[in-house]
Amino acid sequence: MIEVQNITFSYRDKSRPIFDNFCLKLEQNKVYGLLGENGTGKSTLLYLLMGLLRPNKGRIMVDGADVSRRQRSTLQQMYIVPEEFDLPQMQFTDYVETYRPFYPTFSNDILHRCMEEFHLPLDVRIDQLSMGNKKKALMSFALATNVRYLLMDEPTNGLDVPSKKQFRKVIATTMTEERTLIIATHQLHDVEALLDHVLILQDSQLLLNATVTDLCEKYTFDVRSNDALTDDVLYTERIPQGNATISLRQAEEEETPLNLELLFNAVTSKNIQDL
Amino acid sequence: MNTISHILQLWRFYWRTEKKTYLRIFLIIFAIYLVKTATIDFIFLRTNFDVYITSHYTVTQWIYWLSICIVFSYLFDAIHHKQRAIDFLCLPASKGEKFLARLIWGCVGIPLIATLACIAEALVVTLFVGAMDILSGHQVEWRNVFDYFCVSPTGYKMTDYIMGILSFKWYFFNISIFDGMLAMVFYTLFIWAGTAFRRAGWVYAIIAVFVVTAVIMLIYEVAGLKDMPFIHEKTFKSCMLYTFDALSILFTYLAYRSFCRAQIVTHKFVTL
Repeated sequence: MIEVQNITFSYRDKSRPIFDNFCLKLEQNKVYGLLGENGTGKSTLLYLLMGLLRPNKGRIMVDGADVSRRQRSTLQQMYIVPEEFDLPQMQFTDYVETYRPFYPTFSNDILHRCMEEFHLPLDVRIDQLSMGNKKKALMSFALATNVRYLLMDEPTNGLDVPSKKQFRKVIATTMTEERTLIIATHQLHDVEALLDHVLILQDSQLLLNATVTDLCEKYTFDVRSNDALTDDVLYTERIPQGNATISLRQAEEEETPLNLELLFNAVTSKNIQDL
Repeated sequence: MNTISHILQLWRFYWRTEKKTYLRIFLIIFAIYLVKTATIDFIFLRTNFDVYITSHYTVTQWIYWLSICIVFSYLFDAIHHKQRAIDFLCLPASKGEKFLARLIWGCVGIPLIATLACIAEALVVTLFVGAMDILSGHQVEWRNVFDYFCVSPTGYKMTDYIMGILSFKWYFFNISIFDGMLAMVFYTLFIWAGTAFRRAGWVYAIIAVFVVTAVIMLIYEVAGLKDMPFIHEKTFKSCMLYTFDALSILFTYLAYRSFCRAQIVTHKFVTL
């Protein structure tokens, strides 16, 4: 479990703290979607969770260990795929040989499956790949490490449409009961189907912290005509097909799939107080 | 045993990811020496042989250790670049292992590379001198050419010179018997500056080295310490050596603290 305990963090050149007395608990075996507009602190939170940044106050505990101490046992169970990264000039097989010894739970089988799914050969020079393919190679390695906590910052940025589909498939097939995946993104449609839990950040505050199951049990996401906009509608947006709405779900109503973008807009515009 | 195997893993990691950097260090030191030989040795100092003998050794050593110290300040360069820092700081090994592995790797590897560069430069100069002799129509006695490599034009034996370098004797500044220990202080200062300062740590280190040296020289010369009887006493010398030891340990510890406090977005001055 990851516990963020009352952290305060600010970059020195910015007077306003990014996080002020911020708390969060992330449980095991879930896919978390960390959503927010640009500059709300999604990446900063990921870096804090990895111990790459140090909170000014408070602490972050990963399985009972303070992550800012960057102990070997903690780092062996965590991996981050940053939004931008540099890969060394070498063959991918050499890259794997260089980094694999540091991860005791590394699985060659998962690596081969992921690379196959992404249609990438293993004997390729990683520094000569396109940005999208580099990302796919790094994500394959990250999944193969079999770490307990996998953090991804904008994983679908730079991926083409087929690759985004491959990405979802790879994540779905490699998720285990031990693993927790935290995806920070603003590409909501790319990860919608993967998430178990939604976290929405705005102005250093956690506006929403709810499971997808709870959200779907409590709310109905549908498209209605103007005539059907009744009092139970909590949020509505005009779309070409009519009105995309969020309403309180009645007991007898069937559950509807989560419309993440609509939910995000509703929460960040603070039109829904009842979440 | 675990720590040793982790350090070996880290060395393998450094070698595989930084091979080209080491080649670059080799070429830079090789080029510096070549320029030095072409200018100072062959043009200026040849005119005055007495100056040549003393200056050659001092200049050679000075260039050697200064270039090594500057390279030392880049040992922890990875932590100053965001993307490389993510890779390096997230690597599953303890901070102590990463620091120690880097330090040992640098202390053994870099002087070795620099020594190889010196030998390569001497070899190139030897071949060049031999070639020039052939071109000018002289009968080349290969034994003499070999002597040039072994003994060097200064009369100083190349083998002694290499052994001097490898034995870690420091000749930065001539401060009697303290030079070796004082150089250790400077070397650790360079490492600390390299971990603490995001930009050009070696510039801060050079400034600090000159300030420290100037202060010591001022006390030593201006205050007339060299004429005082206690300066030659064994106890005083031991005290000075312990002071230098303590300073070296302090700077190494500060470098370790800076490394432990390193973040991907560091502040200008690391809070120790």
